Amino acid sequence: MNRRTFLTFSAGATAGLMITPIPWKLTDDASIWTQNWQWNPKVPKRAIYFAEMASKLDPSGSGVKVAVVNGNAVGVAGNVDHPLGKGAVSTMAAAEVGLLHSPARVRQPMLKTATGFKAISWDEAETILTGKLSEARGEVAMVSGDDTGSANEIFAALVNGLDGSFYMMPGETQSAHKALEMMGGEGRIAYDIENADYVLFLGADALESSGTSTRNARVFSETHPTGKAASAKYVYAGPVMNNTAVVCDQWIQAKPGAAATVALGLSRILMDNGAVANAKGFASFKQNVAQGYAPAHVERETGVRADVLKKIARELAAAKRPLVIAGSEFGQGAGARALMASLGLNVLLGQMGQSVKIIPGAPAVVQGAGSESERYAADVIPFLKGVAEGRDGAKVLMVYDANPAYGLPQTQAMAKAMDKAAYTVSFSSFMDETAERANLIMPNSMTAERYDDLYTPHGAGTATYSVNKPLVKSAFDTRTTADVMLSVASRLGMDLGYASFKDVLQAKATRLGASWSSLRQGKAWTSASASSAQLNLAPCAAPAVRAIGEGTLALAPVVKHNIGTSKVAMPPHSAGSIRDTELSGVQTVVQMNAKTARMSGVKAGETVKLMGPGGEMTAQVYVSEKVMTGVVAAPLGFGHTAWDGFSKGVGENAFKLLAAADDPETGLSVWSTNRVTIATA
Amino acid sequence: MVKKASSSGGALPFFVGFVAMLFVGWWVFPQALFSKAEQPIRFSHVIHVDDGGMSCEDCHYFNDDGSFSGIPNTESCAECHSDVMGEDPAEEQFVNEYVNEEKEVEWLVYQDQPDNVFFSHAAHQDKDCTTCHPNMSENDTPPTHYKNVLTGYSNGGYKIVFGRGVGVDPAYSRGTMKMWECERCHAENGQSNACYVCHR
Repeated sequence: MNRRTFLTFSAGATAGLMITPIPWKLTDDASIWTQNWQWNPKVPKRAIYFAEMASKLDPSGSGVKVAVVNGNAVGVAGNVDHPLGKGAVSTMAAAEVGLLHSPARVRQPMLKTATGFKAISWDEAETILTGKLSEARGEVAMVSGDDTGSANEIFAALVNGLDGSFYMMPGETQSAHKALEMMGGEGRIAYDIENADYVLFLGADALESSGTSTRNARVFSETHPTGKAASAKYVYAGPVMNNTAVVCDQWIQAKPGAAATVALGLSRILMDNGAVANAKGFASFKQNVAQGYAPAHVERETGVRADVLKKIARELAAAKRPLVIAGSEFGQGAGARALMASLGLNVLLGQMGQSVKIIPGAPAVVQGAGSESERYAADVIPFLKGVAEGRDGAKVLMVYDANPAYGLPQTQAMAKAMDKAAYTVSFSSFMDETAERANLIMPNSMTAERYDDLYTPHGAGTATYSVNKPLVKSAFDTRTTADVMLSVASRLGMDLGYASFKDVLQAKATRLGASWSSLRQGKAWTSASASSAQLNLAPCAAPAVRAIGEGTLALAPVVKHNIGTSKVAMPPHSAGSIRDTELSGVQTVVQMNAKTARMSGVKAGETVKLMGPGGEMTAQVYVSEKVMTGVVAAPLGFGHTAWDGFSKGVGENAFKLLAAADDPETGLSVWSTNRVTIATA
Repeated sequence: MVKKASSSGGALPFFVGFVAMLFVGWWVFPQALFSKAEQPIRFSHVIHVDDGGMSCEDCHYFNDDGSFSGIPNTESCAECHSDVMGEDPAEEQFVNEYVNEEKEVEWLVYQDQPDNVFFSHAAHQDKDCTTCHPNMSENDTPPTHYKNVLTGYSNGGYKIVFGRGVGVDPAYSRGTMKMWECERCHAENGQSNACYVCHR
């Protein structure tokens, strides 16, 4: 080929090229290529699948739908079919997705060494735990904060098999078990709030943090339609206009921890007006109430005016389906007294079996786990105090789904117990205050990553049961603690009867008579069955425990789930919802009314020191008439020394102020009536 | 004057170059530009629609929040295929490799839109699915998936570079949509073509 031939050939090829797609397509594609750099991450193009799940982070157990794309959770939506969610998404349920990739998550098993934590394998972690447990037989203790899960059965069976002690974290569920036990009942207390036409909340922050608050809030919303007349009256009695009181039809100012006394005062008025109950122990109840709960006395003790008390009693008596729900203002520390007194009042109102029911507890399916009541019998507060003070020994202390080093009274002593125990194991998903102190961390998978179940939280309307299955790929090298403990039991030569936690859940479904395939799809099982056993009213008028501490002001801790719970720190997504009346910069804000501030010699915006029986904290003062006179309100949820950048070092932990006292009548520690002193810092 | 004899062969090199480039442009170039892939499982829409009596919405539905479910995941399929139901080896493979292993099938999507476009199925639900998608209800064996290696765009089930649909069933020509296609349809239907409508 000579030059001319080549040029002719090229001319032909060029002419041909013009009628091929090459120049036009390449130009087009090159422009698209520059808009879609191949190395940029792409949004996964998979099915958006809404899987049903019951939130384990939300103490009210609300069911939600998790939007899943290609094994990744991308959002949370309400589930109108779930009896505890009713279509709402609570802050904590929303956090189920947001916290999956939290920087605070423990990413693999960690072993504490002289220089800090080091990552180890699961096999190593299980070998270490097995060794420690076999050496510590007789001095093993485990604390669980999971009030609704069957995992407790595995833990209790394992600990019992090692002659150890099993404890549940204190809270409303433990209070309810103790109250029912003292009154001769067994099971769980259920409130039929859906059908109540008059609801009185005594202390219980039931639309925000107490019981099945997500469901309660939905029912409140249904009974209070916008622009129309309310179909039920809601009244809140407590020291602070909290998230429950602020929407209720009436807020009655009552001192912290006054629920039982107010309930007994109402009972007294009703009985004076002729109310009777065909119940065991009624005579004794009536006599004790008549002796100690005259309206004037109740007014002195609780701050609830006698005329207001009489008016509420009249309204309760006139209502068709009244309902009284009592508890601690911050969900713990009230002991059993408030619940017993409110059950007595509900009986007098003729609502036992109507607005209030006793429903069966979860049936045990793991051999050696004992009954639910047995697992709730022991009080963890004196045990941890004993460990901190060296009185009680714990060669191995295991903590599941709880953060006792942060979320209990006398926080420093509780944290010290973690340090004093010979070997502490945390199963926390997050690097919380307890995990930070542990010798070994074996991180639990989060709700959307694991098999788990949820049986009837305290205050639900009926027995409910939900099963969760792994919906998303595990974000990190975590495992389901229940499965880990089954494996450890097997290594110890113990046969708990199940190879996997999933098998336990299947057995539970069978015992309940629920459809496994339906549960597995996220559908909740419910049962209308209720106990017809009569409760003994005699213990309902148990004497009040004296206020704890010598301060001039009553302390009202306030829980808002957007600031976190006693287990989980503030979810990052709610950081923007924190108000400057709760946190100023990184300083906790406490609230009191103008009269209290004047009496205490402090001014709005001033930094003060609060001194309680459990410890001290500094805070800024905000003057608000949403707090009753003589009370200082302190938000719980701040002051973390662990977790992530959103929570660590932000504010101070009000749990530090609290101290617990023994209640000899019930055997449970109480800390809902603490007093504090305030001074300019 | 003696005319110098040509040694170039006249028009022949031009013709050869012309034809060679046509061959390269229309045959070699598409082979190089498009990668070919088959679906991991031979999924038959025909069997599900004709034999199973299913409708499109049984698997491709709108969620409560208005989002489109897209391609069902293994769990949804396992509601029927928890065990092998028929004698089709593809079904057996699906049950063994995906349902029993709780794995998702990496389905190849013929109509993936690029990430810089927000496309709402809910906003287009008054249109027939086949306006944009092939009529999969008549599809027994999924077509080969052709992907443009430069852009990452799918060319539907059709490998011809441009003039999509030329010479083949147009039903198999619908791949990743180009902007002009969106704009034209919007214009024809009186919808806004403002940038933010699709680029959010």
